[in-house]
Amino acid sequence: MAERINTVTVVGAGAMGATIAAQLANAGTKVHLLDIVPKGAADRNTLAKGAIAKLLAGKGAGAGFMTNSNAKLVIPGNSEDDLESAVKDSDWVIEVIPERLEWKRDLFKKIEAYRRPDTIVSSNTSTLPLADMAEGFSDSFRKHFTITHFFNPPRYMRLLEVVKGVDTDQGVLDAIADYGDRRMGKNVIHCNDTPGFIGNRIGTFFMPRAASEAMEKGIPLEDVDAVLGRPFGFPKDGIFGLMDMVGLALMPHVVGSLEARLDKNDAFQLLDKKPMMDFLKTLIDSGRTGRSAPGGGFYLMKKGEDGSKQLTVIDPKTGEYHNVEKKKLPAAEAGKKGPRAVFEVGDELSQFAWHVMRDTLLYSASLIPEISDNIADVDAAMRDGYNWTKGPFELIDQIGPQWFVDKVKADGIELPPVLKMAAGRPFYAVEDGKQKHLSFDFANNKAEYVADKPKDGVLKLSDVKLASKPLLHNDSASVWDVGDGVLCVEFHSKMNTMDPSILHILNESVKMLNGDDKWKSMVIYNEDPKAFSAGANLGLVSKEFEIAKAPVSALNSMLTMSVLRGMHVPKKAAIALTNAVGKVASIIDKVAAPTLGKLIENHAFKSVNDLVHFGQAVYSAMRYSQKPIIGAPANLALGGGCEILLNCSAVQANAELYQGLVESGVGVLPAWTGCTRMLERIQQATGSKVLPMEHIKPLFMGLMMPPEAISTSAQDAKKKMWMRPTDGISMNRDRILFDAKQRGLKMALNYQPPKPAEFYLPGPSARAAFQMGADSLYISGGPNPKMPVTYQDVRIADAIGTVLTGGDTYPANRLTEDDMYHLERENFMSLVRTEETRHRISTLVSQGSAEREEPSYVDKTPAQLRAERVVEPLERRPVTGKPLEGEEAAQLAKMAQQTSWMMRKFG
Amino acid sequence: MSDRVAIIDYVRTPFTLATLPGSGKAPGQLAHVEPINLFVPLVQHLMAAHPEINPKDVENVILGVVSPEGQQGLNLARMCVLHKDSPLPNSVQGETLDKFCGSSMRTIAMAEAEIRAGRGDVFIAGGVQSMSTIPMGGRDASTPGDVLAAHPAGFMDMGVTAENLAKLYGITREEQEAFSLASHQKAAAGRAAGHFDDEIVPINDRDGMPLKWDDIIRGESLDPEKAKAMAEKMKTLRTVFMRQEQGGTVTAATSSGVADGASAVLMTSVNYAKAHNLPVKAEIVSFAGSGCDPETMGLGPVEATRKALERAHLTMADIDIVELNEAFAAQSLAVIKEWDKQGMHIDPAKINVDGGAIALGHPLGASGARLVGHAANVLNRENKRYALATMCIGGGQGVAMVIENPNFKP
Repeated sequence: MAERINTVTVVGAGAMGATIAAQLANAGTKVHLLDIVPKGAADRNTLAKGAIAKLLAGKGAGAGFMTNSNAKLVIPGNSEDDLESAVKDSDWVIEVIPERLEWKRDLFKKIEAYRRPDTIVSSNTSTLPLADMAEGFSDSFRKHFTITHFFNPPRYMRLLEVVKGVDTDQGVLDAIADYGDRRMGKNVIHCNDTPGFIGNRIGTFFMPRAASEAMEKGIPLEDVDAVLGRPFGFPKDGIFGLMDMVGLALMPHVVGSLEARLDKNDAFQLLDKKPMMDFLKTLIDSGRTGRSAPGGGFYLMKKGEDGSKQLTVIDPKTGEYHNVEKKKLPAAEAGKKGPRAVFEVGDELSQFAWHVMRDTLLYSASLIPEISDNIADVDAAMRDGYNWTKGPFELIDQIGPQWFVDKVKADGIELPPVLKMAAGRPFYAVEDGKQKHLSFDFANNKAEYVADKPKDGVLKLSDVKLASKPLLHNDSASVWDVGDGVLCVEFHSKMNTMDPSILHILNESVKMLNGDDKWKSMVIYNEDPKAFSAGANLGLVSKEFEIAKAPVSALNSMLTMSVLRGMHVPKKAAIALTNAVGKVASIIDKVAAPTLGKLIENHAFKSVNDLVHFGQAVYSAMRYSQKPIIGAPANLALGGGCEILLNCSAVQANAELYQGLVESGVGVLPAWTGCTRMLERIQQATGSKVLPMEHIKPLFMGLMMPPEAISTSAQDAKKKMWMRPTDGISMNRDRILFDAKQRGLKMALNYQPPKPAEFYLPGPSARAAFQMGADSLYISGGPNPKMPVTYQDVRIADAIGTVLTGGDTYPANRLTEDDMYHLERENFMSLVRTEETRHRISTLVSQGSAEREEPSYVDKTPAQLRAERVVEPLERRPVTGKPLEGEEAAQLAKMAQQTSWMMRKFG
Repeated sequence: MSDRVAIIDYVRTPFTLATLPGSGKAPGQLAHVEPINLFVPLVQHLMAAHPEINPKDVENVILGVVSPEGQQGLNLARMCVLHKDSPLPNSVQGETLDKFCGSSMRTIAMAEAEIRAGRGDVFIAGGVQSMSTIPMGGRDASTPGDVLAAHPAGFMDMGVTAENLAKLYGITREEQEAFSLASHQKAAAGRAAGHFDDEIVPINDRDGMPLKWDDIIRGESLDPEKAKAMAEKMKTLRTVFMRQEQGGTVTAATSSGVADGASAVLMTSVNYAKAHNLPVKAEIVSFAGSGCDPETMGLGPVEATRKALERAHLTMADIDIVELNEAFAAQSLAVIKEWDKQGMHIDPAKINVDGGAIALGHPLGASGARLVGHAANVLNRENKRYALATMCIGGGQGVAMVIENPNFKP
């Protein structure tokens, strides 16, 4: 199908225009980026060029380009010299200039003169009515004119509000919606031409409503943000933090434009915004315009002379900044149990939260059907445009619709029509295995559940799950039938970490796929918003080693605790009792640890060794499956989660993919085939069987310094070889499963599993060169003084270097995959045997980040450090490329059961 | 009839900062030039400058290159003879040698030995290194594990060996920084006075413009105010090879710069020079190499110098000019201290009068011929008699050569 939109002009290279241009480039579209010529500028394109340079320098959320080469698609220009040629070349022109109606109309007049009859023109305005902008223009212009309202930053915020004018062609809206959805990855929500559309209409009510009452009542601003953040599923910045981030100068403008345009009786007009607006003016006048201003805004990060940082917040009464301290606020604490618990606390902060949320939710409900007749669209807009976890109607459902209504009534407030029509029913319900929401018939004053028609090319696992039961299931993973003979393996462990339970399900699913003709292909996919998989679950390994250190105390406390809790002894009392018994146990431990502890430790080593082997075996079975297996990741795919993708027949990834092998951070190396697969990829990319160090070195460096090696997008993952050049990218994450399924079905028609890889690696002298390199980094501390290369890194580098150079081999020798897996396992185990690695693992599990050795430098030579890494020869365990059967399969199943037991017991 | 060997002429390319491809840095000014095309223009220049020499008389081109692989591989010296622009006939031999940093001083010594043995009258010796093309250690870096087993600390970054010397000789960071600043000041003054003009053969830069400028030398060091700022800036740099808290002192500012460049020396027997009316810049008096511990490789010049002086029947007191390769400031200072200790005292004012590798850059294989060639130029310029050129070599070696100025007038 030919694309309707291939070239776009963006007029206005401010922060928003530039980042929209970047996302267009990310979609593979050619963009003309224009801005005015500043007075006396030597380079007439300086603004657009500067904007591109800034994007290229950006990191993290500031990185507009998914990979810097996308910048080549953005052609800088200026609106005086280049408007005509750019517009003539474009299928779509987006205006992103300041919010002045006359400026915009002047620009549209010029564009009208140059545009082709089918060129679409849109404005990114957040405040101006479409009707005012389009008035007086030609029929053709008005038919092709719409508002496309992006949210900041456009790469990451999924909401795109598209506003239909009275004259806008449906075909134009369809083209924008299609491009915005499929190519830019946006959730396109159609809005009416009402002030603030959906997102800002509700958001701009919410903020002054909260801020003004808080200031009037003198509630500390940080308390407001603590309660109006996480407890309601809003970003943790809360109200004032959010305003600081957006920039305070924007607020009076947005509020003012809504005041100018909304009906006099709109609840927004009746809102007392004066306390907030007065204080905002004070801040803005003194240059304190938010987070990016040197003087801060509501918050100010103060830096000490020693480089330490302290967050401070302003007291509106005194104008003084004071330190933000950790406080125990009952209302915010209660929020862990959900929003209703916040209201039930009943103290001042709780009542405040109720007033604000009550009015915001009622206001949202009162806007149906003015801003949209679809509550699901309103919820989606708040989720994707304001990063709310739940939209207003979902929040009412979460609070409890009847409870909410009763409490509103008790406050003596009249209910808006939709709440009356809902009559205490939830806004959302599952009927006939389908997700439905209330739809309102205002004429007949009734509401009933309807399901929105699914979009073409969108398949949601959440919908499949509502309508069916899993074919296989345990605590960590499930297998679903997603139709047309395609299986889907879903992970659902914490952060989707890989554990024996997942391996067990994967092993069984590969058998299922290959055991019945009705299955054609399998997709590995889940809808976790954060992680496809954060890597291997190290908690279980860590637990056993922890027990080994003080076996009697640990086992005793576990047993005592579970027995007491089983007897319904209150938690506090149980802990006290357990501690008392523990004191006796610790005395016994002193005697028992050397023997009992050693036994448990040996068992722990054996479990880890088994787990490494099972992972290699199961991943390998996936690789050699007779039917294609498609990896379909989004966001994090690290460590073991990355390795699973390296063994898939193909990958269909979301554009936002942060993939990499990060094992060295926790003191180990990729041993679930990761090293081997990456060496194979280098062979394939270079076309050379015998790999010189020049090609192995970047992999070595990447494995040693994971932060730089993690991909910043799927496009970047291709550059870093985590993805193959032939793998697919779905810009819209709602489309991954459908796209992956189609890919699998297409591949299944003519599928051949890959041939086993073989390696000719350089051996010990090359390993020595890596050792030299690592030693130099260790002695010098390495490139990052904040995270110096430690003495344990010398050992890790040695282990990784040994695997990547093939162990005791020589280029003349042929190494099989099996040889490589053995090397991976042996060297992995050698690191697990070191205290430092086990410390990194246990701190990762207990604190969420691996604690590196302190001090990083010890009084030993690198050679001595390496000698302390003992590589014990391990028994060869053939990896057959077939799913585990018999005794090994039974052992894995047993480990899976133990995992579930331990996870339930200890979390 | 003298049996000595004459240095007729010496030329080099400008030395420019090297950048590895993919480093993300702006490419060096000569990073785009193939190593062969750094050396062949020097050969062209030497032959054109001395039409008295029949190209057929040239016996051999001996070229020093560290990591002779890739674009530096395939016996590059012979490739230079066969180059389409080469003025030399196919009858001329070519051979390539790798003695790490000592490579091109060794090629001069080899040519000298060949001439003295009667195996030819005219030689071109020299070196070339494109560090922008082939990284240090080569593309397929490999260290024999069995060597590493014996010398675990000998083959890390060479800077670690400089740190070892700083520790051993109590050389402070301040001393090293003062040494480096002086190197830049001497080189900048030398450049301003035109002391490099005769020796540099221009090479076309990326824009096709002839480049005659050593770009690592900090010209601003001649301005006292700016020199002060430079000194202040140096103090703030992070140590590169050993962490500061572990006593590390060596920074980027006190190390020689990675560079691209080539150097060449035209040599004949003194008799051939007389017969063909060739001007003689210098005569080679003696040469010596020696080995030492790889962990303190920077001391290589000490023993090599002792042997070379002995073979020349001279003492350090006879030496007027020293060209000591500045691999690192700490290493140079350690050599000077050790010379003192061993009764080879030399007035620091005689050392590196036009600056050294810290200011000029150190294109490994090309540095040795520069030291010898430039020493010959200084002898003539200042009407001095004897010069010593010496340098340390990674892995623990040193080389030293004594030359005499036949034009010296007491």
